[in-house]
Amino acid sequence: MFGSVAADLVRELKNSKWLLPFNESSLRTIAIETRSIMEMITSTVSQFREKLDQPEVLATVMVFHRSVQRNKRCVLAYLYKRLERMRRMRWEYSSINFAELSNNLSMHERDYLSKYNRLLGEYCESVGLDLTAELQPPKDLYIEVRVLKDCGSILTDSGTVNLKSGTAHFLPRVDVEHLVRQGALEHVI
Amino acid sequence: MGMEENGTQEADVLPEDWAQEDDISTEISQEIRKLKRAMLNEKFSPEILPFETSLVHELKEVIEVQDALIDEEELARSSGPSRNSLGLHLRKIEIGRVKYLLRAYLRSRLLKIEHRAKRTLHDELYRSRLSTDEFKYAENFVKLMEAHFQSSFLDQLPEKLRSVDDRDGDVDMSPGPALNRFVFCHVKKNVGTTAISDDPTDQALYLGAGDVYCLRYKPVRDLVESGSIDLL
Repeated sequence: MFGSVAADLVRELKNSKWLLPFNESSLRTIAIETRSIMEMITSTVSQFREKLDQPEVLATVMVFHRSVQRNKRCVLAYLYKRLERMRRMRWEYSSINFAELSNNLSMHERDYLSKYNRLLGEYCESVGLDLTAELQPPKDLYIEVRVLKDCGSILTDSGTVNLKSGTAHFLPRVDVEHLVRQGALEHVI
Repeated sequence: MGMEENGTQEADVLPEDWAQEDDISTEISQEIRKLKRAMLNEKFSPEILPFETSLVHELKEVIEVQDALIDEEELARSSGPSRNSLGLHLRKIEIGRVKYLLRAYLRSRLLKIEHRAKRTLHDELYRSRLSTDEFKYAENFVKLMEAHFQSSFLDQLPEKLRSVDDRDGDVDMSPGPALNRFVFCHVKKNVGTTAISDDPTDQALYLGAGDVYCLRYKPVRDLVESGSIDLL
């Protein structure tokens, strides 16, 4: 049936909150289906050239046309929603934690993401503030953190600090915030 | 955390030469309060509001000056005896808060632009509400998204079908903001009796100063823009 692959594609997206692997094969199937429907439209029109105002011919063409539009719309919704999820993750996990995720992205999506990062970076630069930092309102300059994963040493205003797994530190928030967001440190409240 | 509270705290701990700058600092704290309002309104309104160009510009300057002062003082402290470190600490916290407000303001706008990028660009009113940087961002954002649609899927279709349509039959593909959403609002000035729905048979509501209501956004959108009511 026309459009069933496209409907499945949207359903797949709806049933998961995470980014599933990019469904390249469904997209290809839909593209082939859409092209063949287009050919059917052309052949119907040329076959019934004299009877184009007949309701049955009109209805046939209409059904074909709607199927094409529907396929297109489902795929674009799929692509759009994925971009939206990618961006949300980009904001939540800062730019680094994508190694795991990037296996699930298509080549074009990876390309989009890197261009998006550049665009966002340019905007932040032109307003002079890093918008992705400090998603929560700051309470104090220093926070207490517990190290969950070894991070090596970091440089703060008062010297270098070795972040070894299992140790706890009292450090300037600005220096360790990105590590907390990546999950390498835990903020002790 | 009220700004006045911090103001009095600062007066106690800071050296005397700071007290003389009272006029300037009240002016600044008023601006900070304005920014806080702008940030909250932006956060809760379904549509994008006019960009606070002068406010953002002025506060950015204040931040720059304060940052430079703090740096200078830190440098002086690292060579000389430690003096008044609590005052410095408080000022750093305060500057951090202002920066957070500014970031939160710009961020909530940017996310709104991303969410409805195409609509925002095509709508005369919304376009005029963007700052130059935001406009550039929105333009490139839409370009990037459409390029992605093309390369991921549309290139595989016959040429006739490759455009990204704004409409599919009767359905608008880039819908505008949900203006009929309910918002909480706090009335700042007496507004008087206002119609609160499109339906003329519905009762109008008296909006007096200090009242808090939960209303649809659309009938009060002009009041938000004129500053008579705040969103909560």
